[in-house]
Amino acid sequence: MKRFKLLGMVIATVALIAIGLTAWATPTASANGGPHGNFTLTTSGCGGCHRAHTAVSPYLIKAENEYELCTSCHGGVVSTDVVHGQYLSTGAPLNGGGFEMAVRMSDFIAGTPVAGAVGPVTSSHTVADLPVGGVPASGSGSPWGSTTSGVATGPGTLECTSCHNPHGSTNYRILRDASTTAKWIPENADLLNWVSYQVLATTDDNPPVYGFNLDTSNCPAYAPAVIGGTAVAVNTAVSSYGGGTPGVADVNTPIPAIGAGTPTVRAGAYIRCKARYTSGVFAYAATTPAARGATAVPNVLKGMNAFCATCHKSYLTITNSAQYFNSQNTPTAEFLALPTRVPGTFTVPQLTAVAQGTFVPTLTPAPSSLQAYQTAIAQWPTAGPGTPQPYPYIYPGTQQLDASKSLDNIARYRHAVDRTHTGGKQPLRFAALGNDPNGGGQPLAYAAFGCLSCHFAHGSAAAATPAALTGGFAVATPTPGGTPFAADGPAGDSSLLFYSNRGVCITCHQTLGAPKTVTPTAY
Amino acid sequence: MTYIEQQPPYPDRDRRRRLALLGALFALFLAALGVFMLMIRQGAPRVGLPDVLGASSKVKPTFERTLAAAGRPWGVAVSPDGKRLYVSEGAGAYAVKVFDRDGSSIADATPPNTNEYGRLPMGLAVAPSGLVYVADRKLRQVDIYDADGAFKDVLRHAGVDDWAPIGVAVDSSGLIYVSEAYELPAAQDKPGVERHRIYEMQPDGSIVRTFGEKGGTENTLMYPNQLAVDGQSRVWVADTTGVKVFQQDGTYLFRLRGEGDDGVTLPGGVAYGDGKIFVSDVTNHRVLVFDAGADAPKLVTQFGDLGFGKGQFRYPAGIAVSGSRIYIANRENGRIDTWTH
Repeated sequence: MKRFKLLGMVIATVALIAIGLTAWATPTASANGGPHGNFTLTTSGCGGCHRAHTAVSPYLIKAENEYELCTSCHGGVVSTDVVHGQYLSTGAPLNGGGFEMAVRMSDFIAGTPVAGAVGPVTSSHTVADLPVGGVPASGSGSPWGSTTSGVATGPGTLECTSCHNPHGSTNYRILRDASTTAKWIPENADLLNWVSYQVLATTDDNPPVYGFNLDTSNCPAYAPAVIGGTAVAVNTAVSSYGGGTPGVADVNTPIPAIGAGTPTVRAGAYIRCKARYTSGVFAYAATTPAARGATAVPNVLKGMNAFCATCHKSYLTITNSAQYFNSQNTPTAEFLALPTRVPGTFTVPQLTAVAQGTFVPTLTPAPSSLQAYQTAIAQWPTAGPGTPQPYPYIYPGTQQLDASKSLDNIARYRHAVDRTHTGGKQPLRFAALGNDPNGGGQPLAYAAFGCLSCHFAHGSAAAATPAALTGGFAVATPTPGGTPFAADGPAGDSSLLFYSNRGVCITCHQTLGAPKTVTPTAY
Repeated sequence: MTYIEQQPPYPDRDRRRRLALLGALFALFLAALGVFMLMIRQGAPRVGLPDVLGASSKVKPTFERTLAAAGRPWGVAVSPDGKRLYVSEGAGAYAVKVFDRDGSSIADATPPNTNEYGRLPMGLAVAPSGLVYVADRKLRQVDIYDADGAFKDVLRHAGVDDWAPIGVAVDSSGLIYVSEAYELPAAQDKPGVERHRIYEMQPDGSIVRTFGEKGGTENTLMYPNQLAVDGQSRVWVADTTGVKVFQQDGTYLFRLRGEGDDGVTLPGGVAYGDGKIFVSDVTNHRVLVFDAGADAPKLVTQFGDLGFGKGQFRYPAGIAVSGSRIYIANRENGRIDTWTH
């Protein structure tokens, strides 16, 4: 009898468990699969990264950090390998370099890629959880040139999505559109406005236009914009600022004045629209071919320097700016008397065949451009028309006339950017590779000089002896498994530079007489 | 004669016995109902489908132990006799680590005249002969080692200099399957090249068959990576959109795709064993188990979740199965875990 009772109880228990399991095992719906962008209403592309109900991190990500999540594909599975700094299909160096390894670019000076020329990175943008000497980096810090004055762009945590938008963007390598560039400093409208103005300031009367392209066709996706806490609408009647296509009549349309009515256009609203960036390599003529399955777009010109300056804001100030601006950052008579921001044309002394050519300042005399900019700054930031504002060409407080001995003077003089290169091949990075590895299928048309002419975005394998200063996120990364360097001033920090030591300087500025060949640094 | 009607010594016994029997039958009915519902939910084979799951199929695999440490392991394979385990590293020395069944290190196998910056071993498989085949994406070749990790030879694509192998499998006949994911952007004077395909190769390197092309549809491939071949010579290909299944002649059959929590989102490893297909679901930090016998495989079970602890994964990648033991490359936890099923 007891056996029967026991049997009944066991079976009943099993039954209840089975029923319970049935209910427990009921699946919940979620999306799955798929990479970046081009989502449809029936996409299954969300579940690869997100979970609606079981996420463990912000943005509903089922991952503890972005680096590990992103490198699940971009660490060897797909062609773009940011861990090892190569396009794995072709072996070509990744434009951004690599976070743990990178192609030694010295090997490309002669114009011929060397297979397997890869080394450990000696500096990198240390995104969160990047292994540095075997220890996951925190990703926390402040970028150089961000905190000495004005609105700081840090400290914060650097992640892959600080620069890239995994859901797609209008930019090369899904770099964030301007409106979302500052995940780093979310909703800092003032700073974004400032960056936007800097980009505008690089526009030119004469095509090609550098630094800025705004395609209003994308504006509705962002309007109404919220600037300074106030919702504003984009004036769709204003079609193009900075020029969507070089040579079009409205390339340098002045920024519209603030209208009397509401809604109206505020300049800051433009940053909610599509400002296309690309790497310095493709700052010019990066046509997307239909062969890639995408809609062909006209030449779009980018503001990569401004992109970098979103965080490294001090570096977008005009050289000699301490002379041209008073302590309130308003322009001096000397500045206003300048025919252009950076006058003249200079020729880089010839070094090797790949270094031949002439660099012409992008801003060849363009007084109207300057005037347009000066008109614009009267509206900055949001004080309303007619209210004089600090000159925004330099970020407020960045440059102080009498601050030559302070950190505020960090970018009192700086190397010019936004220069056009004509003639032979440009000597710096990738110039010798021939074709646009972005898939443009165009001959390399790199003509603009900017941040990425000398620096990698991810990491560099260049040598650095003696030690360069380090700080911020460019923390030296030793050989994997090696002893971590100190956070400040280690030998071997290459500061994300393209060539070893200061090869980026000598590549162009060979001043030692007759042309001669640069000998790549041995590793 | 007088009959004395005797009272049963235990008047309630029969009634209790009957009640107990009824209760048992009712409980049995509930159990059957529950199991039936569970089978429907979990997609276990229904009546009429071949029973390929075995008696243990209803049991969720259990964590056994962490067998060995490895630098960001990506691929894992086990020898036919189960005595050797091979792991491709995605960090550190970028070697193929050879372990014995207990996790003791036997060797770090690397191709000669290479260093950690010039090689990138990824998928690997063991042939019935015991030879170990390793797809090296940077070296553009399949390295061949003996059972103890001694370098033997390489396989290269005779007609493609920039071959980019990533995954490899070997079937019971010794036929080698290699996946490739290659992209060359179009140049002004020549079109782009996209090779997202599977090669079937003889041990001498001769190519028997090539199939697959890049695409976003069910029957095409998008960055194929790890491979497995089942008992029916069907080729299971993990790519970035799911697991695609082909006949040996390259005919597309079906795919395991994303369908909510039961679906494959980003497969990073696939293995066949004991009538089942095991798929590591990288970004969901779990392993899914499907029956491999049906034409439309159903999820049998899944195991693992996100974490550092025992039985937890952080981006599981390669999988290998030997008997009742499952080997899993626990990528970001830097270890090889074993489970039993």
